[in-house]
Amino acid sequence: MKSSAYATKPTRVTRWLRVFIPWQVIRFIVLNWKIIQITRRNEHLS
Amino acid sequence: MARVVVLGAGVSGHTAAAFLRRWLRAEDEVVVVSPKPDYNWLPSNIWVGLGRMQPNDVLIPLAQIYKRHGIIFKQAKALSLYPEGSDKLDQPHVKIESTLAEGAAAQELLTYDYLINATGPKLNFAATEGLGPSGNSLSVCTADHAQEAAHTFLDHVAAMKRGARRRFVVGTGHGTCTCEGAAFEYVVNLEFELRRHKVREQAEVVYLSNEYELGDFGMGGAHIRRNGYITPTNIFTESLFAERGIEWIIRSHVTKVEPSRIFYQTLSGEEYELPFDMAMLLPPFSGVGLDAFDKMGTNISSRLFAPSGFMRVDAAYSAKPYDQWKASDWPRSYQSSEYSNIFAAGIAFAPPHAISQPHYTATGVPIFAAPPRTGMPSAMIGKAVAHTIADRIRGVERAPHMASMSELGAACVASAGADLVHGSAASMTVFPIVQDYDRYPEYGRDLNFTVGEIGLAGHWLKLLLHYLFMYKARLLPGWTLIPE
Repeated sequence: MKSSAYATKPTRVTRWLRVFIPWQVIRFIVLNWKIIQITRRNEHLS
Repeated sequence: MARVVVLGAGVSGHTAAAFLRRWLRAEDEVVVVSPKPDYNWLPSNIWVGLGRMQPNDVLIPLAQIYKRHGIIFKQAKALSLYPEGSDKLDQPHVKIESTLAEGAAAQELLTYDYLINATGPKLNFAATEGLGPSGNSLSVCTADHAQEAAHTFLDHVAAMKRGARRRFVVGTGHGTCTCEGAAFEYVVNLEFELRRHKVREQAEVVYLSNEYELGDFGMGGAHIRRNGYITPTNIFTESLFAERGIEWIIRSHVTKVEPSRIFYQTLSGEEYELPFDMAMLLPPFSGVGLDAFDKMGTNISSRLFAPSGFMRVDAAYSAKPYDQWKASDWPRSYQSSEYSNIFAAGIAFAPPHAISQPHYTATGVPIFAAPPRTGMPSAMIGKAVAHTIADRIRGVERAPHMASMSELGAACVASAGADLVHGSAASMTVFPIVQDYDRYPEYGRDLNFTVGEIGLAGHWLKLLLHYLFMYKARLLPGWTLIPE
């Protein structure tokens, strides 16, 4: 089994941001925007 | 009047049938043949497999929906194709066999003007001795499999609450598996559920995969911009596992599964045993095993299908070394290479080659991830094929509609914990799915649209997608406004 000792791990701030609701609302909007852009590109192709 | 027969009612087949019905004239027929009565929204099987959803939450009965929309539904499995007709019928047709309890084994010859093969994969558990729910491991590939996995998981949780220790192994059950994303999603959700049940300390969680690196996902991994660096997805995935205390074994080919022991070999040729209390191992996929015959009754399956059983389409199938693979090898119209009125959509088409670099042991055993075909590209392919067929039936002279995986992007949201406040998910988008080093020389993809991040927003997105796509699959008012 691989040791996880050398893997990158998140800091406390990063872990906190992942569940900090105002920041996650912004990320939700950004992710949706990215996905909409991809679906637009896909639709344009067909 | 024209008749289009769609074999399969998964993401690709269901999408194709719905758009065909919308675009064709009233007198044209759209017939869907599927051995199961329900549509299964597969991405949410992960939650069924841990008891967070019930099968009814991810299944939609098709008969009523199709009746309402004027689509003919036959609950049956396709047995063989006769693209030139046969001595019984001059027209191209497909032989189907009913899977209804009252009509069991009744066979029918169904003629078609156009055929869409969207049968999806055969879950090839037989490739590994002891693999699968009828053997010694579990699966989440169907809602029934997932429910069985949930029962087993919850039994183990109950035992751990009484003080027992358990080892959970999640991953791929063969060296040529695909859908590593589903195994990844299941393992991180399982770990989250163990914490939610407050038994994480008594559990060892192991991810066992055929991937060359974690985060390969059958698409050769991806590069994403993060905090001033361009990072490969193996760093992203290792970090996620390390944070959660999930151990991992990669470059492995499972050779046998006994009731509490997995036997596997690694790319370097070493052989190991891994004891387990619960194992959820995905099977490799193959074509569903359709046979095809010409007018004279000669078996022409090898002309229509690749050795894997998937249908040959407009792809470049000539064998060539990895460094000569091109994005342009991938199919664009999904029209059969043999018959212009047959198309293969979703998982049913034969990829020209893998996306990830192939690796073999010294004795020639392949250990690398096969190409994934997730929901978004499968639906896009189904829609493009439907559009091409509708154009031809209506006499619109135009080039076939395209949906090459080397030009399509995809979004994949892998739940890492189902909770509206404390949950999370790994959200990834890639563009394009198959790397195109001619257009994007450095990383093969557009880094502006290839992103990855972990957080609660991903869980909200996953939940939103679940409800949106269940609504869309029911073909309720406005369903066409929801993108594929």
